[in-house]
Amino acid sequence: MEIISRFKLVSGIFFRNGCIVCGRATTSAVCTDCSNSIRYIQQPYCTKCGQPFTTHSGISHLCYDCIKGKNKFTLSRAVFEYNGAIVKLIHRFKFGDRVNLSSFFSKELFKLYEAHFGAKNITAILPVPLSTHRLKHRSYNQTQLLAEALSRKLSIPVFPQILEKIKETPPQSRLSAEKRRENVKDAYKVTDRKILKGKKVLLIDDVITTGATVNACTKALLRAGIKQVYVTTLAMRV
Amino acid sequence: MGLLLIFIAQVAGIVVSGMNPAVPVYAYGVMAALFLYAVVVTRNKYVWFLLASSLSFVLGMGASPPSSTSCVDDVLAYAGNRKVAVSGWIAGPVAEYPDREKILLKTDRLDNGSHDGSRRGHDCLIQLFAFRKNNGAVHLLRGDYVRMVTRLRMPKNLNNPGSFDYRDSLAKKGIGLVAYVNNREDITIDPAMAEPGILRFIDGARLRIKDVIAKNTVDQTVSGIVTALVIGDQGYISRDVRRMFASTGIIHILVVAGLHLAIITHLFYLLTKFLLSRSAYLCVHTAIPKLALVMSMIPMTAFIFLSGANPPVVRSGIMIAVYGFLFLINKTQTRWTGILIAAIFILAVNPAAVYSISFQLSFVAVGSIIACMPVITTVVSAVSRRFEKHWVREIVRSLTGMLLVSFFVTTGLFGVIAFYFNTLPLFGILLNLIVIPFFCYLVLPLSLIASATGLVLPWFSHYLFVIIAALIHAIVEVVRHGANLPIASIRVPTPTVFEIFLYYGGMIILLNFKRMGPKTALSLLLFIFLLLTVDIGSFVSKTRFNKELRITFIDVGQGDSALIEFPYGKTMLIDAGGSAYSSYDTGEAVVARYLWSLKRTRIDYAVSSHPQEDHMAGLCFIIKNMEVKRVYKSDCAPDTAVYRAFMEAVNESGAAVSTITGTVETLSVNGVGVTLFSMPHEACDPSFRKDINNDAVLAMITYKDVRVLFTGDIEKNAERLLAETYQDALKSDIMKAAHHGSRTSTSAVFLDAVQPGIVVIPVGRDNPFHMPSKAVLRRLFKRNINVLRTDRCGAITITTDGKQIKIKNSVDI
Repeated sequence: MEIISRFKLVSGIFFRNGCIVCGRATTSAVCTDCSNSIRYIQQPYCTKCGQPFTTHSGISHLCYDCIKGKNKFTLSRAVFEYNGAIVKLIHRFKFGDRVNLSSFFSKELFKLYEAHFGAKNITAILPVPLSTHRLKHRSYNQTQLLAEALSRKLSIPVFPQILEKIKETPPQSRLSAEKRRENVKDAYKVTDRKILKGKKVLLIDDVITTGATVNACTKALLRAGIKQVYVTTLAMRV
Repeated sequence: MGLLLIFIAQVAGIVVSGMNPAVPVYAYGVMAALFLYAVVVTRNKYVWFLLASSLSFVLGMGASPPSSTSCVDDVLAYAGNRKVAVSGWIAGPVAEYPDREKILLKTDRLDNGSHDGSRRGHDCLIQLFAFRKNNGAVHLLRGDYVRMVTRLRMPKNLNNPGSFDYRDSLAKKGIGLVAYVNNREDITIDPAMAEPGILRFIDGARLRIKDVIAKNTVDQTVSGIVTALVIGDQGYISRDVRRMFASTGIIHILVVAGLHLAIITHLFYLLTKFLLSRSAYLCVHTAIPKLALVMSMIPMTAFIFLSGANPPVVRSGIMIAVYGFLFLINKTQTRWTGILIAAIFILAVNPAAVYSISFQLSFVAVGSIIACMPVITTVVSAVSRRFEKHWVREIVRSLTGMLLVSFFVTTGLFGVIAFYFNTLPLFGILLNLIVIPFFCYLVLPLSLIASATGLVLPWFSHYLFVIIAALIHAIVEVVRHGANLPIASIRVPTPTVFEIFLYYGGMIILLNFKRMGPKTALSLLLFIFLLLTVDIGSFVSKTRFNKELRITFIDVGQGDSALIEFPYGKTMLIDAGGSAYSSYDTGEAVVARYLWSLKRTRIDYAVSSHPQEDHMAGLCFIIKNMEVKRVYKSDCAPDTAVYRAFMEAVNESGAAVSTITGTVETLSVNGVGVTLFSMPHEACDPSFRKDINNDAVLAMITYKDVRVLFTGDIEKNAERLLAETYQDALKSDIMKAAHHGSRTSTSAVFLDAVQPGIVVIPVGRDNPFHMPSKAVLRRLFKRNINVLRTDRCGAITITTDGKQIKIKNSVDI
């Protein structure tokens, strides 16, 4: 063990870690310059869907949408605000073949999980699926990679094929808020109703904007007899 | 930081070992002690830096190529100047050119025909040139055992201040001898003794592909370019194409380098990814990007070896492999890791690479891209943000990205290119935007497919070659138009190493402006600016305010060339060497290089003594590429290639032309008298070829008490006539021996008329005409005349203030 640690020490001296955003030498994953443009979601936010807002009191409470019951999931939390360097990183992760970014992202997801979902007794992780056509086009599903990396840290199994996208829809990111909901309506289907019946599951997505996608998935899951759906995403548009 | 130290120490070690090859034994002791200390005790990174860099320094020193002097002495002592039967193995790739082959030979046996029979050579490396009469001969291949009869010689050097040292550059590769075989068919191959090996196999494959290309292309332009792109052999690119691409600054596209490898690997990656992702199962259950990257390493390696594995390609391959490895293990390294690992690896395997121009160009180019990456990304995103539409934004993004990369590479390379090639390829920055995508994404992939299928599907490959030929013809037309533009590239004088350091120092400060803080950065820049001013000032005072007359007899091998620097900056060039037999342009490679190293770009008076290759050929380049004000030529106008080229260059440049007929033309240049004359005109017939030599222009330079006479190639008859006509007016202190010291010239009559104290003989070493002749030397010796020969002294510089004469040779004898 002594030898290995010394080897790590010496190789660390000569092979400096590079910032995943800009490539400059740094000791952490992101260099100080770049981390200035990365913002974590902070309180106050909605106690259910995690959407940040401004209040005078500074205390978190339910937001208007959640009071009206628009969100069907039990709890949702996101790591980052979707702007600055995070946009660049997620873009590379989704479209640029940079699948190695899953290790950085899953670390952040793990911290988030420990803080908010640790005591919830979750027994399965489900990534938001891509349609087969889009999957073949991209050659990988980024949410599945996140789910798998997180699963290794938590020792909770991933079920990548329980949820299936059965409708080919245009990408959510190019649509307005109203159209999004319409776009993904009945787009998801649960393939195997037996395995997860009565369980609590964690749904993983990369970016949450209006919540249309995760709500569509949640509805399909609840209909299939799943007890509770928790949602965690990398970034939230604020 | 750490890797950079290792790299710098390694380069320092290699460079130091070039000066003094002995590594002191105690260095290893110190190393061992340090290593032990570091491994057991320290966690201090500076100790590790020190250790790693000194280790790399010592390894760099130790890994220097074997000094070949002992081998050379031994072989020459045995073979002398006689012909010997040499046999040995071909030890490197055979470079084929249309008229010759360049072969690296490792000697096995030598036989000088004496009684002691054949004798083992000492594994000497010989650079062998074999000239070819026809294309019918079988290919020679690395590992072949060959026999031939030839003369072994030390490589010839042209010795001018600051000129390229051919002997030294060969010695750095471990080559100490050169040999020539006039007919390639005189080389016999012994198949039984061939040395098999993986490299021989690869070279064989390359030759087969070369034959496929040759068979399917009719045009030399096309076959030359395709051969260069696919197997990295530029020997068949025609001179015309080479000149066009070089003058527009895009010759790099024809030399397989990192760019080509990166793009080919990327295309393979995209293809593999596309094929793999056809299966939804693989998409879900494997990480296809990683899988595709690993799989594209295989064709990448194949292409590295196919293209001859030169340093830039290996560099790129290592960088891609390092990136791929880090990608696989989900790690990110600093921007510099890949390039430094590549540099250290290449130098560890082949230390001599540090001196190779392609190594330097490749690393400086990629280094400047990496250094400027932050600037490039900032500018690109700032520019593309202005556009609303997604696809417009993407196009703008890639165009500005390419333009900036091209710009920064050109600026980054400027120091190196100016040093080696004296050009500033401005037009290339723009032309790259067309040429790089065209060649790398279209011509190169198609050529690779066509060459590979040529072995299995000949008809398919043939159609592809037809398409490729059309594409290449189109792009060559575009480049031809570009090359005709006046600002295609600018010629610049050679910078000194000091100036190059200042240039890159300034660049580094500018790039780190923010991090250093404006105060430090600005004061450092000011300091550099001051140094530069002093440097330029010293050159200006040397070339514009010189008070002395300086005459340099430039060593152009077998030929004539003299540069006269008048006081206060004016210049005259009399002839510029040249050779009828080789493609080596002394005008460009020797005379222009010498002028540029003096930071001179203007010739006020160019004198062509007479229209023969060894005097006139080099002048063409000078007249085309330098600011030549006035040209003087002799009255002979023979219908020869060299004269036509000369007149074409003169007309193109727009310089004023004067013909020296029987008259005397007298100039006064800043206090120096110049008299140009030829032998009395009625005595010769200018149209008669025999009289070309006799009709040469002579020049008498008079500066106060000192007189120098230039005699061209005049022979006995002209000398007698001149002596009779001008008598005492010919008297001078220094005379250039006519016709390189041939026995047809420098007659006693003439010597008695001129009565020189010093005679300079411009002549090539070991020239086939056995010049200077013994008779001439004897004549000079009898008259107690001081003889200076360019084959012994190198360039001879004579400086005078009008009273005293100072002589400096570039080689000490």
